[in-house]
Amino acid sequence: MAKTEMEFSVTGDADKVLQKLRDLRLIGGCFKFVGDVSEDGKIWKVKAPMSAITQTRELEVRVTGEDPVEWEAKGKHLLWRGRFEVREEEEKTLIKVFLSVEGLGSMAPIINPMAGMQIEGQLRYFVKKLKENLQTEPT
Amino acid sequence: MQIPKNVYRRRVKKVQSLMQENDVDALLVLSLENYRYFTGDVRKQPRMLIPSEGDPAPIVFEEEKEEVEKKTGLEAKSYRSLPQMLSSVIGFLNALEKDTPVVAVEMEFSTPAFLIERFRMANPHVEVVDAKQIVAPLRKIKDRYELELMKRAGKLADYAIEVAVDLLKPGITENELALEVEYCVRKKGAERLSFPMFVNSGKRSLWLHGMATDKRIEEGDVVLIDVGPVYNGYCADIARTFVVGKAGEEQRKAYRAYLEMQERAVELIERRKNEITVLEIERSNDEFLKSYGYGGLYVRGFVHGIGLGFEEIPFPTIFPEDLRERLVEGMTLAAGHSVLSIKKVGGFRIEDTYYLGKKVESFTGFDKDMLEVG
Repeated sequence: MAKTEMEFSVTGDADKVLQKLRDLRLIGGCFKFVGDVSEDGKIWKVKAPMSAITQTRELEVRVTGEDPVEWEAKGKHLLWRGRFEVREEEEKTLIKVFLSVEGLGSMAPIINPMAGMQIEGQLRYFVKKLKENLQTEPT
Repeated sequence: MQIPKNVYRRRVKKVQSLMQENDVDALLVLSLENYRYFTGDVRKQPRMLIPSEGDPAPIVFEEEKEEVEKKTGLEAKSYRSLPQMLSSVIGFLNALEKDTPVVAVEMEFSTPAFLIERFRMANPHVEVVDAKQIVAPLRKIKDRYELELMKRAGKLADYAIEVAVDLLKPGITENELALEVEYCVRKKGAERLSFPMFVNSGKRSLWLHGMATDKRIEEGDVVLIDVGPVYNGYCADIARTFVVGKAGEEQRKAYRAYLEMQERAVELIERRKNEITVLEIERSNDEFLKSYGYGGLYVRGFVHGIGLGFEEIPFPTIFPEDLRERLVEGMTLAAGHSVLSIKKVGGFRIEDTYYLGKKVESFTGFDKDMLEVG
């Protein structure tokens, strides 16, 4: 399993930030490999070429923890997990993002060596988009 | 001819300066042409990262590392597996401190779309831009070392046509002719042909693109031959059109028109060098061919750049924006690239490789008065 983490801050109230971080539709939309997201955020369509490489077209997503917010997005051969630890500090809300990914089943030996290298870039893009979302909308 | 290592160093410094001007953090080199241009080395599957500052890093199979380092004077990163190779690239990009590093990638024939798509997937935080903006300004102007190699390629191109003419008789197939020409040219020093040779005979002379088939050449066929030998990486391009046997009046007229169009275009480039654009050449050709009654029978695409690539900037048949490119001193061009295609008469093309120096100089020079063969 490949893991990585990154911390960033936004202005605004921590409770409202937490509320947004539980919005699976918003979270799915922050990943570059995710195409369409269902209305309720519970299905993330995986874009090509990742869908072809991992033989996984969609991920079923659920919240697995409320505070800290934890979620998992699981498909045929791919499992993403995320956790957001949120705390307030001097008028800012700090968010620590933990992300992990692993291949499942017969694709695991193919996916896992690649996933370790790519997860950092995925997180960097994700955090950039998440930050934009948390900041552009009034919290 | 050995190109000194400092020439390659200078090229790298120049591209790094263009990278800085264009806010590009790294150049990912995947084409042999660019890899060779910046290092002088030849690899089957070249990969190299050039940062906007500091030394380039070739990425090679472990057993090739020693040779690459010796040839390039650069420290290479090595791999034994695909994940290790990817790790070198991704690790390099992750180490760039910007939120969204900008990486230039060659978006051309040598880079398959799937590779760019996968690169984007693996590096979502990276902004991928076309490397053309930073590489083309350098590559389109040739230095004296490049010109020397292109001259030698030009001599091989002339030799290729000489061999072809000797063989061009009724009964030989296009494939037999192409095979023999390639064998002779490679034996004479060409490392390869830059594209599969055209031997377009009969009705197929009308075609825009070419190939060689099992068709036997017949008496009366128009045969269009286009060949591009490569010498130490550098290409020349030559095309000649022949009639096997006696040429008809209409064929002579079409051939004369093409030849005159080429001569006029070269004269125009010579006279208005540094200011004339590719588009102006095309317009002038259109007008000229109309006066011959051939309006609409010629396919635009008269010139293209040539060098390490057999078609490089300006390359207007693929990149229309290159029609705006000015033809300036230092460039090398193939002129006569496209076909004058007249039903029931034949397809005609006369192409040569030119250097735009103080004077326009032709690197190929096979006889253009010869129309009838066999």
